[in-house]
Amino acid sequence: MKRERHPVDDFFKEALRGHQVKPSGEGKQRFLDEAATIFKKRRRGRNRWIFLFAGIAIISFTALLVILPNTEDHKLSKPGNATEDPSSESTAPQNAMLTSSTSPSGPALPDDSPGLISQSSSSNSRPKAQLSPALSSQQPSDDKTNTQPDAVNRENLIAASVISHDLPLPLPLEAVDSTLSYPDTISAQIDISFPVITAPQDDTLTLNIPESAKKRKPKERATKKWEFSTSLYYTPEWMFNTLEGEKYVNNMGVEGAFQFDRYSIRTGVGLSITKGTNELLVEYKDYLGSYSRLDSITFQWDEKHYHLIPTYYSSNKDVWDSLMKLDYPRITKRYTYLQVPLILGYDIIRQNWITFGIRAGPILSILLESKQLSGEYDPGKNRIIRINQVTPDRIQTNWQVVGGVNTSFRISPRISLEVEPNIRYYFNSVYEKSDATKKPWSAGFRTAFTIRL
Amino acid sequence: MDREEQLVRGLKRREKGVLETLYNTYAPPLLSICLRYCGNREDAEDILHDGFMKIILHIHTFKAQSTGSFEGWMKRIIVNTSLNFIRDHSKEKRFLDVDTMEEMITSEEEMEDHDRERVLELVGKEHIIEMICDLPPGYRTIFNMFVFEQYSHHEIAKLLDCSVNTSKSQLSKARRALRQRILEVVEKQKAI
Repeated sequence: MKRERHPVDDFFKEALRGHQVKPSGEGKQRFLDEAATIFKKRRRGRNRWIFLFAGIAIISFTALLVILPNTEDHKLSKPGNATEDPSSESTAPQNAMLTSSTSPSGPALPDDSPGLISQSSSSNSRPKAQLSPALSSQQPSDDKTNTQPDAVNRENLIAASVISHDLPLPLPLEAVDSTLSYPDTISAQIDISFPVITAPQDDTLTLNIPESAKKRKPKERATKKWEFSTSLYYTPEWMFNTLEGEKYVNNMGVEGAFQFDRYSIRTGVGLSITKGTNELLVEYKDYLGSYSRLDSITFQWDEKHYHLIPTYYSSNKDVWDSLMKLDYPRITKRYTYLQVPLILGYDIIRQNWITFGIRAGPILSILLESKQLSGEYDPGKNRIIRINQVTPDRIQTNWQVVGGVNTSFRISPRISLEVEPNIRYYFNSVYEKSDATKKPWSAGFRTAFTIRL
Repeated sequence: MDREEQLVRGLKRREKGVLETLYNTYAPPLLSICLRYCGNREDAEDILHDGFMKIILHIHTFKAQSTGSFEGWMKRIIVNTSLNFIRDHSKEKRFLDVDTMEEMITSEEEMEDHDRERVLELVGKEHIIEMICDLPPGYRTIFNMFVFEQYSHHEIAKLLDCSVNTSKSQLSKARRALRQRILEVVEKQKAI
């Protein structure tokens, strides 16, 4: 419909085009103060998340730093001071040595050994070598021939240690480390004045690693190729980019996982619970009061007194203002979603007690219930003209994709604890009117208690 | 990225210094709107403050459509805030009846005869805004909504909870009153 044009309208419109009024300094300061308070609150909230995520990142990074060195071969050798051949010789003084070596020929540990022990082993066991303070440099071997007469198993070594305690001090000890997983030769002079144990003092500790052994991968967790596990999980989640700003969501449920070698697939059911604030726009008219309205009057003739007796019939009438007002009440609702994840995983690092891997996959969310937590809007005696919903309703079905890094700590052969910081992206808005906001994303921290079946 | 887009992004990210830029850039034109609606400077500043607070609280709901849409969005917020203010602060009857109106209108002369620019020179912009401010609240509101905000009579009737005919008659009376004021000022200036 074409708008009517009027010269007065045009005149005023033209006259006031670009008209500006300079606001007072007081008004500006008032606005800046109040707005800065709001900004600070939001900034503080945002900083809290930044610190939280930075903390998670630091923990993950530290965990990686702890795990990764365990995956590399230790090179403790000082080149040039030891023979590489398993059959190479280690020196032992003739009369003050306990020589032990692990070989098929069996243990040969003399009970009456003097204070020096020479050990040579080709076993794969790697016990912690308690090397005494002064290692073999103090007593260089003068015999380059093999002094591995007999094989000694681990128990023998322990026995040897026990024996050595009874020996007069100081007692030199030359040992070839049997704790390494290759037949290296190690010569060490061990001061067995226990219980004081100090670090090696010199550089003559020699550990040569054969090339074949160097290439060998670290020992991995001895597990079967495939396994099933079930877990209880809880994931606090912080969602961003919603109409209500940042939102906190609780996720919990049960999952089952099938693991094949390093690959895994995980699924289950869970609940996602969050609170939401819905804003309403209420158009109403103020209640002004009430009056008694006269509906009718009837008269009766009083013959005795010779006059009319009136009877009044009235009804109570409420009065509302003719002006319409607006109100923006908020109601709080709790939304419960059913979640069905399908998460694929790959373990990058697998150790006896820890596993580190990546996890990613889609999650389907279905709205189960939306329960109003706050009371109904109470207009009092005001007359409600119309109620509009400003915040749109939650969507019924929602798809998300989640990705994260999973660290699993094995606390017993069958039980482990998992921590998994993750990021989630929502394929569609959580609101029915998808153009009301951008697609949300969230950051979460999944913790799970897992039992292997 | 233009200045408006930068400002919106800064507001959404709560950057430092962006509030002052917002106020310095948009407060003067928005205060002019507030003044047109409420008729006095004090109330206009209050409305401007409330409007700006709404703007920064709901900035995340703003979606840029094109250049200038942010200013348009802010103007709508300011106009709505002004209308709410008028509703809350005018308990008395807003719309004058015909008899009162007749007293105000004494001249039926048409303004088309005058050269607009010449009239504007004679009257001055300050007097123009004063003329609108001096109108009775009902006239002023409907005149502003119809002329400056381009609302239709149906929309005005819905927003102000009055009939379409009331809106039309109030607009007509507002025009007459303004025309009368202009003529008075012009005559005065001519006499000088």
